[in-house]
Amino acid sequence: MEDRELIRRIQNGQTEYLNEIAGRYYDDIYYFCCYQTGSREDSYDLAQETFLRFIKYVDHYQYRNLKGYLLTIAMNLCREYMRADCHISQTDSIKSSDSVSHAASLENTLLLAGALMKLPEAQREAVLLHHFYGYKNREIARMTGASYDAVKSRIRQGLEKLSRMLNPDDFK
Amino acid sequence: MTLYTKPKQYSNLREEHRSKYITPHPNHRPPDSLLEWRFPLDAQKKTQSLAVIRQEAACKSIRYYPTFLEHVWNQIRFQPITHWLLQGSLLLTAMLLALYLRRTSRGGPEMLTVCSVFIVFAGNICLSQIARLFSWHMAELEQTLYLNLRQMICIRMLEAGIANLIILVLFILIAGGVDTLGISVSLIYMAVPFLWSDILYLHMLSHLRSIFSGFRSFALGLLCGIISLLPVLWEPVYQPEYLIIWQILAALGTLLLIAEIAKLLEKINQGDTICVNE
Repeated sequence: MEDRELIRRIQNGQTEYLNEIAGRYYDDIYYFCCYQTGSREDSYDLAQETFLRFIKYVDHYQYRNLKGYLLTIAMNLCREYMRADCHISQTDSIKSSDSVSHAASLENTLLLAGALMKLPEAQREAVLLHHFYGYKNREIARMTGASYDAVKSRIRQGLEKLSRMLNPDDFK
Repeated sequence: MTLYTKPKQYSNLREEHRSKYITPHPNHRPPDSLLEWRFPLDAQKKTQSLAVIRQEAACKSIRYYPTFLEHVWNQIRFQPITHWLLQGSLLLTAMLLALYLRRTSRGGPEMLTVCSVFIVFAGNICLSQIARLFSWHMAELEQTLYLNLRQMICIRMLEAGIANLIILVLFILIAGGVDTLGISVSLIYMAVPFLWSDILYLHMLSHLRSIFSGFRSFALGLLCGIISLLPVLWEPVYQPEYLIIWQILAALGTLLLIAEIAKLLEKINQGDTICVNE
């Protein structure tokens, strides 16, 4: 069932379809929060909060891009999280929790997560949305509230920094 | 190795995105270092998280909020017949007068004066309905029927704007346009009486409580419309040397109208005297 149909049914009172939306986009939102905050543990809470906020305001929802809308909520939550004091001690939790059980198989993921966490928040946001979720610069500009040129520049600068930290050949 | 030269992996990525994640950017291919970004999630924590979401979804009760277009339709649907009769007769008169002006080949200032008078009266008939919004317990209706007074005011103004546009187009099409003066100058000549009449009318609506009843507000609308007749008394006012005065009046009028609308909407929010039902 398409997102638009799901929303139509939800707004007609069939709230059970909210679970379908959560099931469909939970992973995407989780990964975004995870790479954005660097905390694997707290990202479960952030992803959950994203859907709780969506549920709260679903009556008013009238946009076309549901995933983009959810990512925008998640982005705002991550910004709030990053501005809170508690995030500093948790930024390495992807590494610490994964390095025990999946270190060998997830080496690239860990490297990537570590490199992303070294980027400024705005650049990380733009790189994530562009390269992980495939959004165009114009769409990211709408989602983040930044100008088109700013988004373009953030992605370019972010990729330049990543290429220095990761395998430079991949970015040529 | 370049960013866009791996057809096999690229097509796999596209398929994955298309089937699972509905990517809005199908031609995008990230650098290789960014490909392996998904890792296994903790199934237990995910289940717990989804359970909380499910619980919240079960408690959710959906409220119905009409869209702006539905508001527009509702407002139009419940307009009294007298309103439509007035607007209809005004439109008919405007058409007949435009045809007469065309036959007698009269353009320039006469056309402008007639057009601006009709624009003002058509607008004020619509705006006179604003007064109705503040009577007959509309504030209570807003609470119970999800009607938003701000939206309703905007709808009235939108309606006034549409009525004005219809009359303007009618005069331009039937009476042969405003070629001699140029469209921008003609628009200034027609907009200034409309702006100042509306400012006066909105000011009275938001300050005089005694005009809330239908006929009194309508009569006041007609009275404010007389402003549009002032240029008739002094025809040279349409000469090019006075254009700068028109432009200043237009700029001032726009600012004042914005201020009046803002004040009106602010009073709705803050519950000033205007919201006291009669």
